[in-house]
Amino acid sequence: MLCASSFVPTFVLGGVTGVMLAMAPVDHLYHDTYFVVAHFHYIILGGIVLGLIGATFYWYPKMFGHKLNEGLGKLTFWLFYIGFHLTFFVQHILGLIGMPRRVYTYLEDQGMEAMNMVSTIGAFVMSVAIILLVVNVVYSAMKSPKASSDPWDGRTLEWATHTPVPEYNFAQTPQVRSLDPLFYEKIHGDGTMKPAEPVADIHMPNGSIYPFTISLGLFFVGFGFIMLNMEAIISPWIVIAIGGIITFGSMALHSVKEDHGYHITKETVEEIEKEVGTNG
Amino acid sequence: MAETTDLSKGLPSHPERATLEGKNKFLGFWVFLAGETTMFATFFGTYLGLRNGTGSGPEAADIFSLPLVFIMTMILLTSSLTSVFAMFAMKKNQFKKMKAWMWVTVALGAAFLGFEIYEFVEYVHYGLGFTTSAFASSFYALVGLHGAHVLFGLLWISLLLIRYRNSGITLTNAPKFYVSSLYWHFIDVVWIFIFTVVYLMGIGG
Repeated sequence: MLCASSFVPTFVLGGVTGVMLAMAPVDHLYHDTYFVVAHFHYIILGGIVLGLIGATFYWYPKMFGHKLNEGLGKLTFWLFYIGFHLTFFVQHILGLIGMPRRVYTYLEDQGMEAMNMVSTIGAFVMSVAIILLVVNVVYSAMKSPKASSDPWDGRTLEWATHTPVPEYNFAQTPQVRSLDPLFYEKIHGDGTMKPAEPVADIHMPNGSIYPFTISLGLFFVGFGFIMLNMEAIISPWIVIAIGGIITFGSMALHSVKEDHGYHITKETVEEIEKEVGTNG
Repeated sequence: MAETTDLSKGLPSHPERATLEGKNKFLGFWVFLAGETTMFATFFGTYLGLRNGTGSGPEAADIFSLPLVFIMTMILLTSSLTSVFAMFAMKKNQFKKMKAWMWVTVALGAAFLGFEIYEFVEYVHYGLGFTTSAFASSFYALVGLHGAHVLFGLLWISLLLIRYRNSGITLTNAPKFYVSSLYWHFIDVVWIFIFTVVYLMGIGG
């Protein structure tokens, strides 16, 4: 909640500076300065990192069966938010008074020392926040009580299935009557999703190593291309070829080997449902 | 859902989308084609931006030969047509016919690829290497990428044909063949754009 709502001012600042950067005539003034650094960190922090942290707290009980500690969470957020603005807000000004980006140091006696100091302090505050998040993970794993399947009084379908989530997600496909299906049932129904099909055998796909090997091969290919400009022991083309063989070979194997998955029988489904149903 | 398909009266009329797995393959493949479209669009954009940057190397109008490219275009268009025939045969459960048309598609694709290799070798003889000029780089990157796609399609379809040489049409392999033919059409469409943007514009304007 805090993360989501603080996204707005952060992202707006990043957006406004983005518009500034998009104006070619004035961009000559702050091109390649810390102004740009400040801009894209407002975008990436506001748009991605705050979302990631918020989502971590939100879905943590569904993923791991217990909530993260709320007090520590709030502390993480405030430290992170304050640290972030300390770090990057002054960089707007630093950029405007002429500090270039992509250099690790700056000229003395140009009036940049104080703001760079502020920036550094902010970075440490942010680090403390992230360390606190890690502490929170460990602390909650030991202390937090077991979460129910719907700890936040949620609106959407993931909160309608059990925690821990059975491998088939839903024993019966739920009948969806609105965009916020669980919320709709809570207001208009009895708060539980109604099934849209009878209990039956569930067809499941088998796990597969191929997606991993396909991307592993691409990693080799990419690494080989980087090696073209290096003095390497083996020819980069060998690395590229190996990567290509791994990737396309995995695709060929995936195509040649028929994999029909497996079925969870109706009896097993009922057994699992009874078991997870009793512990929340 | 595969188990719910009634096979007692033979294959359904659309074996490629009779199962949930087949339908998912379609969806996934269209997403993949959307990504491919974007990738080719960037290469086209690069080519359009750089095609006048010939430096001291040969220009497009100096080296392109319309008859050769016209033959290539016709070969590739025909191969697309034969893959449509193959899909018709598949829907009528005529496995042998489908295989035959698919092999014709592969043969035509191989002929196209042969012409393209010949074409590239010719251009190198004219002094248009990959790094000769911005035009050369963007041309080879775009057309070569398309050629690589043709090669991939040939290997893919051949692999399917060899893998399923005796199996008949099943609900498992029908989507695979259908999706490979979709891919082949996509390559064809990209080539139409290359023909227009690279060759016709290169010679005529």
